[in-house]
Amino acid sequence: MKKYDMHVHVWQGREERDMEIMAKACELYHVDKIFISGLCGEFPEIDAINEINDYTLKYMKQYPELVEGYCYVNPRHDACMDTLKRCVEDGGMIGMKLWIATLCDDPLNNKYIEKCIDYDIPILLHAWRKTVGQMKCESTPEHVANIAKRYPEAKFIMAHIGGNCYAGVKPVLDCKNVTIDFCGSVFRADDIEYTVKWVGADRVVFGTDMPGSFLVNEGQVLEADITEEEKEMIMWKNTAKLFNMEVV
Amino acid sequence: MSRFDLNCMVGHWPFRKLRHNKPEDILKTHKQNGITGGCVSSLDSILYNDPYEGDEDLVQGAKEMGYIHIQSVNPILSFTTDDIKRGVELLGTKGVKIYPCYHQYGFDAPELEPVCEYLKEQNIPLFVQLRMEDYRADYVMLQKQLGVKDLQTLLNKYPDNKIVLLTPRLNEINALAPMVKESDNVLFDTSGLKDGLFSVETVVNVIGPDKLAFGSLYPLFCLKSILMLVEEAQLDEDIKQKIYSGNAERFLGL
Repeated sequence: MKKYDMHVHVWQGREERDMEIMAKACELYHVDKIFISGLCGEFPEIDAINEINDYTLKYMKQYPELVEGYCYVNPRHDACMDTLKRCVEDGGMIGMKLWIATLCDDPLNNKYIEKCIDYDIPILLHAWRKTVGQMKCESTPEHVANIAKRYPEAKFIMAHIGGNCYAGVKPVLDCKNVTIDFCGSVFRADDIEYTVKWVGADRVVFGTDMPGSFLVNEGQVLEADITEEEKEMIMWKNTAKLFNMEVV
Repeated sequence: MSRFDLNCMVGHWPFRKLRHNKPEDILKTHKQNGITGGCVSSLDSILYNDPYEGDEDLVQGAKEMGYIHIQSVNPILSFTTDDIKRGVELLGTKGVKIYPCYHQYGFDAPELEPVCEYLKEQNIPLFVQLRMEDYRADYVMLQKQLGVKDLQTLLNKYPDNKIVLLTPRLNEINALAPMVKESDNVLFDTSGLKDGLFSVETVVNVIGPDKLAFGSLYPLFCLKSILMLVEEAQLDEDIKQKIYSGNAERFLGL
């Protein structure tokens, strides 16, 4: 079974180390593709944003078969539109990443989302409803639902099942333009079954948050009480379709 | 290569539906993954007013599984040591498990002293469940968050007790390494090693191959996730065997 990990990162200040350890993991665990977004702080400035995206571009060139790229933007900076154009039109990135610089339904994001609709590329939204430690502009699943309803023609991915499947799935139940990834370190035994039960396997994609652990998320799919066909959809086919790649 | 799960549980969890929480479910998952033995404790006991009632319910299940019964207690209750004595006599208790995260006390609590004294006398290991869920996903009831200093307090105060630290994070094992490196009384399970790539390899590098044992916290956590950390680890097979079962069997005197 192919493995497309649609949610990994390189972090500012340790980019080379992150890429090196991820490349090693991909070789050992037989990963076919990883989709990188570079991250560089809660409210990063434009220079840092461009620099981290340049690292993603570099790794796309260095590992052309393995690495795809998301352009990370902080919509508080108008110059990020140029960044997005440069990364997608010139650099070949195939998605956009919004993290914690704005809530994902902030009107500041609108023009970026409209640009992604033009490009027909997915938007990866960090989302986490936390009992403790919620960050100032950290989106919840309800924010994801808001923006998904505002732009039904956009393709959104809600990361981390919104942090907690029991708080994350139902708010986006009727938002058919929201795909759900379950990457990250909450790896409860029933998360996949619960999510598939409510939204169906065709709206679930495999991500890991590497250089966080890879295996805990792979283990969730392998153990889940779902069909082999559903596992294959989650592990790579849904991602391939979402990003307009070949499904062969 | 035999496999032993140091940390599995049976029962209901009040905060969410568990789909594989009966003895036969655990056995089935274990069998599918080549696990032939383990330590089992009661999920029900954690929040029962009288934890002993949950352990009475577990007795039959533990016997059917052929697993070692680990009795759950809340040391803050004045009758805890008596319950443990009862458990040893009537339930087949081979270890005692505490949940300071849910019972809301620190390791300097005086109520813990008679419990640890009795366990030391009887050479019964103390299993310390450091956390049950990711704090960020707590629902209704918040767990007390324990950190490295708390664990240092525990190990300093009870150096002669056999202690199993369950669901520790990598950073906690790293921080405790100087304290535990020369001790034969401390064992960690694998169920908290969710952060970062190659975490099992890192732990072995930091504390050596003899103090880490496979424990899953199944059915709360995904068993396969934790098992794969060992299966896929870039370690010699003899070290993996220690983690799968050898270290737990040695520690528990099996």
